[in-house]
Amino acid sequence: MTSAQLIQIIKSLTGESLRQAFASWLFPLLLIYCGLIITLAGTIRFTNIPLASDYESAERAPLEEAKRLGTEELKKTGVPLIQGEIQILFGSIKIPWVKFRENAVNYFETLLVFFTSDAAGIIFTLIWTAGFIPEFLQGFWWNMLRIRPISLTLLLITKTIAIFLVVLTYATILISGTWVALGFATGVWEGNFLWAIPILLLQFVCFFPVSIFLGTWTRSTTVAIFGSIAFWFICWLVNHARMNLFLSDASNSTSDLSSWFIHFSYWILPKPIDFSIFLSDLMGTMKEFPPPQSWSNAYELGKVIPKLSIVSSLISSAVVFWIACIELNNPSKE
Amino acid sequence: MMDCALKFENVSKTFNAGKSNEIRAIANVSIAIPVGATIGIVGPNRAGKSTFLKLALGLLKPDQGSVYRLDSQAANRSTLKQTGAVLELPFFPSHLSPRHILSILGSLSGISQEQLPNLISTALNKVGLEDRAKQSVGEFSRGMTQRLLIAQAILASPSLLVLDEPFEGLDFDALHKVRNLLADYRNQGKTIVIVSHDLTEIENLCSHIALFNNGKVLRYDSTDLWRGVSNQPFLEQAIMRACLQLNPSGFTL
Repeated sequence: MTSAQLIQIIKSLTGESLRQAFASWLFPLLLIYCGLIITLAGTIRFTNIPLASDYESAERAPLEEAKRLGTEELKKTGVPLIQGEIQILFGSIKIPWVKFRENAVNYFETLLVFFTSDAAGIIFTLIWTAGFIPEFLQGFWWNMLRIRPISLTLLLITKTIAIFLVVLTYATILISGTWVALGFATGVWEGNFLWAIPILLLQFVCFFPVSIFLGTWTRSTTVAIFGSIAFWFICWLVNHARMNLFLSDASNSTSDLSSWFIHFSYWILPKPIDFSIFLSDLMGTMKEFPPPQSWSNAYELGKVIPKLSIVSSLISSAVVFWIACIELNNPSKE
Repeated sequence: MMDCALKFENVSKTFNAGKSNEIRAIANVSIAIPVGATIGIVGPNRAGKSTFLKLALGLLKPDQGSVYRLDSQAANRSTLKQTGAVLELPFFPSHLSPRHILSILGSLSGISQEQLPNLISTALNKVGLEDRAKQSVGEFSRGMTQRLLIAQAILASPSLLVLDEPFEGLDFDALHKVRNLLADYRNQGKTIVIVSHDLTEIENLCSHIALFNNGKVLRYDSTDLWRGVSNQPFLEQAIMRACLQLNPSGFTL
């Protein structure tokens, strides 16, 4: 098979997967979900919150210190006292804010990232796509595909790439839409927020093979949904448990065997918390809005190695995908 | 030089082996279908006809024996490029249009991007679906779905057509189109294997007829031998006679 033919197959299966995505009963929910997030970002308004870039120094006066100095003295220092307010959803939610506008944007980016490419984002994406493979493998249509001169493994690979492209399209629309809405609403254009697009795709590449395997094994959308979410939680728990091992008082309370087991499980499974930390770091929100202490502690100790973490996560997903291919070629599935 | 388009050598296939609901769908079948022949496969329900076609297409693996398609083992997927098939109980993804379906199946069959649009238009035209090319198949009737099924089978102009109940659900106009289309294929020297309960179509179209019952080939002869000296529709009576000779206790079509 030539590369042109392969690209043609991926193109036609991407079109098929996009239509499958639109036809999914979850698609209206997905639109509502995207709409809510983008609306949330677009309705943020700041009152009396200055830009740090308008001042020579990015320092601001703490409230207590400002009271002690008095307004006139404070003006002489050139350091602003911020007593602003953030309004969300057309003023229905009001949050007092004492930092700069850039910090406020970072705060919202941290919040929005949770819904777009972190825990909630990836779980929602896994639920949405879980039916793609079981539907693809259903009776008549699957037989129609099986009587083509292409190996079943290559068929599954091309369909998987097509689904990745669909998710990339979704991630691009959702995250860049959120970014544009946030930019227009706040006047702060933080390009680093767009790192959420590749990170969501990367997480999806790591977790979706479990959904593929369950789909090929059981041909059931329900099993694929619940199985892939359960797998994500297991990976999250293992990742979290390993982070806790690096806290100073953890060594006394954890046995060698369980410690070894946690480390071993960590290395053979995808690592959702590591991805969260990388994203915070890439977005530059790590210092301002740090993750839980055990996570940031492990990161500062150098126990989270980005490249190694990504590579080992991808290897584990490749192994699961390979098992799914074996299952697909299993003659008892006739 | 290829002699056989399909060849079964002592092939058996059993479902649910060893269980209470065991079904011996194909039992020690040996049959050779020459290149250029048009074979009608007839027989009662559960005779093993559809299983025979699935084995021919490599959708099932035999428990015993060997299946050859276009001179290669049926497991060799490369010969599927020259094979078109109609399978029973069509159910296409309802979110796709005929054009999308043919585009996907054509791409998987190795048809180039340049040729595909023309071939899709030609195939849809031949089955009378050209004005429904962009309509969702979820809105299709049984007859329109059957037309689409035939369109995908002929898309790549295969040298072997394997058809399971191709006339099912077709209206008069579509039946006429499909009949002419298959006659053209036959006249071009291509091989056609048809499973059908429509004995009149089989009589008129096929050069050979195989009668299946209980997973076995009861009789496989040229249509002329089946016909004998009759000038009338002959197949139903001939099948009755063949079955009664082998199974005097009775046989119902």
